[in-house]
Amino acid sequence: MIIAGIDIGNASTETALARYVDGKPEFLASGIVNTTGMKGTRQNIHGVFASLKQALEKAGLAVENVDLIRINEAAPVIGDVAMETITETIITESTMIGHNPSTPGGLGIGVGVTVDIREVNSCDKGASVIVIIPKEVDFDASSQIINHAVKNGIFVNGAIVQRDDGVLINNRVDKKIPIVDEVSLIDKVPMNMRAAIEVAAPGAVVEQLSNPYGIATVFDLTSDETKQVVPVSRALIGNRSAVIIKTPAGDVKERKIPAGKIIIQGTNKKAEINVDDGAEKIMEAIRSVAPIEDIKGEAGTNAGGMLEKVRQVMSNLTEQLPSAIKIQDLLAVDTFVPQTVKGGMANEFSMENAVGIAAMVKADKLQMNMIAHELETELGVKVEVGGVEADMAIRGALTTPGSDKPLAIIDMGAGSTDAAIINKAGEIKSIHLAGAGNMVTLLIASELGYEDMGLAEDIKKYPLAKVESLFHIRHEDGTVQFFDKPLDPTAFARVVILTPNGMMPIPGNVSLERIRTIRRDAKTKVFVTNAIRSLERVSPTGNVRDIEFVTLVGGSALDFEIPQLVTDVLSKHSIVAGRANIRGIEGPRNAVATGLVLAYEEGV
Amino acid sequence: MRMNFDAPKPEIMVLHGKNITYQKVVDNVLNGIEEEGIPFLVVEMEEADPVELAFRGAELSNLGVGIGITEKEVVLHFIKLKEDQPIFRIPAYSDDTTLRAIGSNAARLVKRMPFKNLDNTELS
Repeated sequence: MIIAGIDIGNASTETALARYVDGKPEFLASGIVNTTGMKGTRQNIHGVFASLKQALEKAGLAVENVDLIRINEAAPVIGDVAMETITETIITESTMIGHNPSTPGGLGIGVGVTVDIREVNSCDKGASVIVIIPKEVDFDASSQIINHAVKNGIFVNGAIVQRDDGVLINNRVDKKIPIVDEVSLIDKVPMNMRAAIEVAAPGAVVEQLSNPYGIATVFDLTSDETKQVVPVSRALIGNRSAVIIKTPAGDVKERKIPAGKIIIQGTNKKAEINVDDGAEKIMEAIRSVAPIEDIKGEAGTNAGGMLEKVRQVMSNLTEQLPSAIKIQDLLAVDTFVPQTVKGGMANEFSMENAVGIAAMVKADKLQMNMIAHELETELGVKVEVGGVEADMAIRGALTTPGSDKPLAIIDMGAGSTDAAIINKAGEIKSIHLAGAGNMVTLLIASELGYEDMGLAEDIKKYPLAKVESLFHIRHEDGTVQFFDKPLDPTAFARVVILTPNGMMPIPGNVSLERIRTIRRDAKTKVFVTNAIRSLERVSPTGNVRDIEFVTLVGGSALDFEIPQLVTDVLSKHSIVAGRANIRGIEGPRNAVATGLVLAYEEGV
Repeated sequence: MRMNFDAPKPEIMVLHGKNITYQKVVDNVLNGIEEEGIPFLVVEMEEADPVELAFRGAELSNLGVGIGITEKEVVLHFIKLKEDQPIFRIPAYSDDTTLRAIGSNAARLVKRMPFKNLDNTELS
């Protein structure tokens, strides 16, 4: 008889097709397509069809030849991710411009009162001024005005320019002054206020204005006032040019947003934890309370809203009441989000702390029965719901050459990380945890400030390179690759993602090293944390060290670096871990589908 | 070994025709180069084709970067490219910012910085 095992995952739907001869399975072909719709919903059926058809075509069979289809009990886990910022920086009464135009003009530090360039000649002789040059005044006119004013005895000590004219003005004025250009919101700069401008030499950074005492020196501040400018100086660290304008009521604050509490209800214990305490504290609480029954957020707060949103989405999908949806696990990760500073003038942003959360909901088994039922009527083939996903995965994983019981697997998917362990006697214990590939994508997107999840997804999946000339690129590891045709000018001097469809330039001005660090950190924060966490939960002793062999399966195990990151950390716990090779040919894919077929003989 | 102090200066070569009526276009391009802080040299030539002018400039330039400007077009060329395939070409009636941007891009080619978009927006 011919059996098809079909695994509906969060991201892909996989098929294993086998013929049973004398009670022994002989595998014929596999299929893989993207999952249609959210896992565990009616929309999955299209994906199941496509995946099955693919496998059948490879094997030269038709649907009529199939005697039995086994689908996974997609028991679990619909995961969702959310992000909450817990700090923000607000500048009231605009006091600073700290940005990095690529080409500021001049050099040094200048202090004076802000004046519109068109009115500078009405200033008193001997006055110290900073001229403000809006885009209506071009560099020729403004340099002439400045030279004229300087001749008349007005001390022009610096300039703030809207256009990208810094160097041009600098080359045309007789007296060298610091010039900050490309200040987009120049009309927000207050007039007749004391201001200081600093431009550092190429390759250097501002020193005076990034030092609280430096600011105090320039503006004659008292010790109390100096304390207040600390956030300003902090925000200017690392810039090549900076402006600070002192307004009477000026103030910069870094403030903590009350994010609210998370309430974790365990079987025996209960814990409450503030989201602004950070991810570490939250994870500690979750660990101490396990096993968890439900997780709630404090009503009326951001934390509450975040978790209720997840619950609402799940309730819509499963057609159950929100109150019936239980959040069974949560992965919190500390991260940071670039946010525009409120009250800034050149779209300055500051890195704010945030907590990223992946939540996991146990869905209803009935949904899969419904899918099985519909498939059966449409295909005219008997369809049954097989066992729990992780149990199936471990059966599949055991087909990896060189593996044997006892064995643990970590199934790293898109929506959840699952772990299972099988002992010598064949008993299986499994666990589903929140946080996987989608969480990594979210972290990459938020830390780089992208709205575009597709871009973050590509950064996650593919290595980077830097285009160094029109003819060559340098890979992440330093190797150089030449091309015989010139590369696209839009990619020139940029960091590119090496996708299978060619190079994709990354917008913005972020260095390759930084993107690489963010990518690897995100993967470590999610998968390494979850690998340890899940193994702890399935280990017979509760200690990771008592597990000897681990195989990695699932879509994220195909990643070019996640398996190495996990293998590396697990080896420190003296665990042999590596990517599975299902049936010796499939790599880490197809474990559950294969397991579904194999479980048939055991009558599970 | 003695350094050769007679070696030509590293400059971007900007070539245009003789007795021109489009000085404004040339000035805008030069401003773009100047703002990026790269030296340049302007040379007049009897030549009508902007691509040829640009490539001739790239050949003359120690940096391998040339700009050819005619009444009709502004072309940016690089010595390592095929003669008939310049990097950028824009019409001479483009607005000031675009003309400046092609000048900036000549300098950025030298500095190995991402190009400005010639529709006057940074790739972002």
